[in-house]
Amino acid sequence: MDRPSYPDLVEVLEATELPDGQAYKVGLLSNITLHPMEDVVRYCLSVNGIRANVTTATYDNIVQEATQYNDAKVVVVFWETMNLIQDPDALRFDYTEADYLALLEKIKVEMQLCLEQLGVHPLIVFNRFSSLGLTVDELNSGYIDRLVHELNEYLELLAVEIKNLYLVELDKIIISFGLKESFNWRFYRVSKALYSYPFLFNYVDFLEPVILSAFGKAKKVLVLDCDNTLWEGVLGEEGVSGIKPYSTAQRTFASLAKRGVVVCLCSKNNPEDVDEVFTLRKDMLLTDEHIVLKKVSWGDKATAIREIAAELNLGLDSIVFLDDSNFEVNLVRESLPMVRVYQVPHNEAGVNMLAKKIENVFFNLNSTAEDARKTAMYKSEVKRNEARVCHSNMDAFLRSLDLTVSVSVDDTAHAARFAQLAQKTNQFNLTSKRYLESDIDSMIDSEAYAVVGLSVSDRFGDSGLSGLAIVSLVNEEASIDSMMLSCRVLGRRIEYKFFEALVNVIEKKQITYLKADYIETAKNSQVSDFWPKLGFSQAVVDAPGQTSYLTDLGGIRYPEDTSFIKVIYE
Amino acid sequence: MNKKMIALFAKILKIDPSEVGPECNHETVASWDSLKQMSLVVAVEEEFGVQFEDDEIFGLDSYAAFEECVSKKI
Repeated sequence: MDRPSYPDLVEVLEATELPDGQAYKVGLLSNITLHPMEDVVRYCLSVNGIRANVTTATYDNIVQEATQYNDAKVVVVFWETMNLIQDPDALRFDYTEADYLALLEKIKVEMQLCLEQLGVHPLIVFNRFSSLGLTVDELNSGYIDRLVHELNEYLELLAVEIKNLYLVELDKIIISFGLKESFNWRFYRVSKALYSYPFLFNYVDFLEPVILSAFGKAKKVLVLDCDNTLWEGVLGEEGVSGIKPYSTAQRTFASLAKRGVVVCLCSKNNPEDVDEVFTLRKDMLLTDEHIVLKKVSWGDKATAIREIAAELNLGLDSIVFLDDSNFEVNLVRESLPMVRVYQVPHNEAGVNMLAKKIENVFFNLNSTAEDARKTAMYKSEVKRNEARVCHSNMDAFLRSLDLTVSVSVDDTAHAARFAQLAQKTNQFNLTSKRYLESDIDSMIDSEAYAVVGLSVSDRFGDSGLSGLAIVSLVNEEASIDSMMLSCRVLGRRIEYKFFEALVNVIEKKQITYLKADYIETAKNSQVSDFWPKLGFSQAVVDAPGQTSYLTDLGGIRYPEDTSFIKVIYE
Repeated sequence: MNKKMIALFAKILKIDPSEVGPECNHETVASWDSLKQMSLVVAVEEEFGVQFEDDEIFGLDSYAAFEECVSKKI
């Protein structure tokens, strides 16, 4: 994000004042005055299309008010060393070993209490303790450094157990921004406002990928130009042997592909020339196996990127585009504002720095085994689409796929992948409830819920765990809390087979009535009529954009033939 | 300077520009609390490229005080 001046930021926020209605809750807890963090967080979320109510708890009431934020989506905790005790100088001059140990114990208990109160629901963004502002110019290391060290060790320990706790390397952010620019000692003296506005902006900017990941807005696709982006030089002028690969950047992109980022090329060149580079140049670290789609032509790049989104069945706002050309960068920025665009600098050091930045942009809270196989999965999806063109008859095509789905119930081994699905699935998602792994774990353990997973495979490959449904069971009534399918398995009638399997699971639990909701979002209109198509009748419109449906098990009908899909119950 | 300062105060305090003037201070404007006070300091420093001293910040509790302090610095 480019940093606007503070008055400009206030103006932008004023112009985009939140309309009434559902907005995410975001909380800031702090033992210093965290001004103007609230505005900065709201700004960051609003430029990413997220509506949120951001509030700051009362000054220095972290433990007392934590419980008010256990239903928030994200909670940021600034627990500052500077203000742990009234007079930090006492730690330097007056403290005995016994005083120190008592203080350490007290803060540990408070931290534990605070995290307990916040519970398993919100993503807790917690700063590691830092002594930089206090002891950076001291030769002797005393109680303050020791306290910071021991509290951080304790935090590490807590983070092993608490899955929704993300620890922030506050020291790194302060140092990279500069000590002098980070702190505002004048304001600290006057009003305990420790950090400068530019620092807080930098802090939020640095953590943006972490926060977006919690809102299910993590980036998924990396679209790369070739000339002067993947290598130095223009292929059409210098030829296959004349270009020089940017190896550090290529290595980064290849590692992103291995972690599940969908890497595509978008270049104005002759396709056979680019193919030749990948075949002949053995010093290319980014290779064909990492690349899902190549759009190499002389057409305009905005159109090419639109095609990429359509072929992958992913939203434009999940795409990051890199190009060195001013023209292309501006064209894509203007015609596709939802695409995140970075301009590649004209020197290798700059390219390397940008590659690091890009690695951060694709930060993902939950990495799973599925991620590592994603490139292969998307590649087989592209092959499937090609096969589809050959088959004029859709039914014949679907039959030719040899589709198999396998269904699991309450399998804890899948919890991490379930959480990832819940956070990232946008299009085929009936209620879009964004659960964390800890939420999923507790529902799997609970008798009142059935957590059903779906894996899909066909003759082109294995799409892995692609579907999740959560059903709450009360007496004779089952209610579908969540149902979603990863977009990479759509268009194969898998959704109806999934529902059929779900009904099979429920039937065994003496259920007669089935309830289901549809909650409208900007992206899930394709499932707005999913329940009526299955024979549900509309019960009530609970709120604008939210409709409840009801059916008895006998009333269910299937709109399309799915007999060609084989089902295995795990 | 006056016009810019009035617009800034109206924006930060969320009041009408006509309400910003010599009479405007932390007692007469309901939204002017300690946090808004810091917002005003940050915003005025950024807008006019000035820096207030510690002791000055304590005294900046009215529009007139801001105006006087800034005019000494630019």
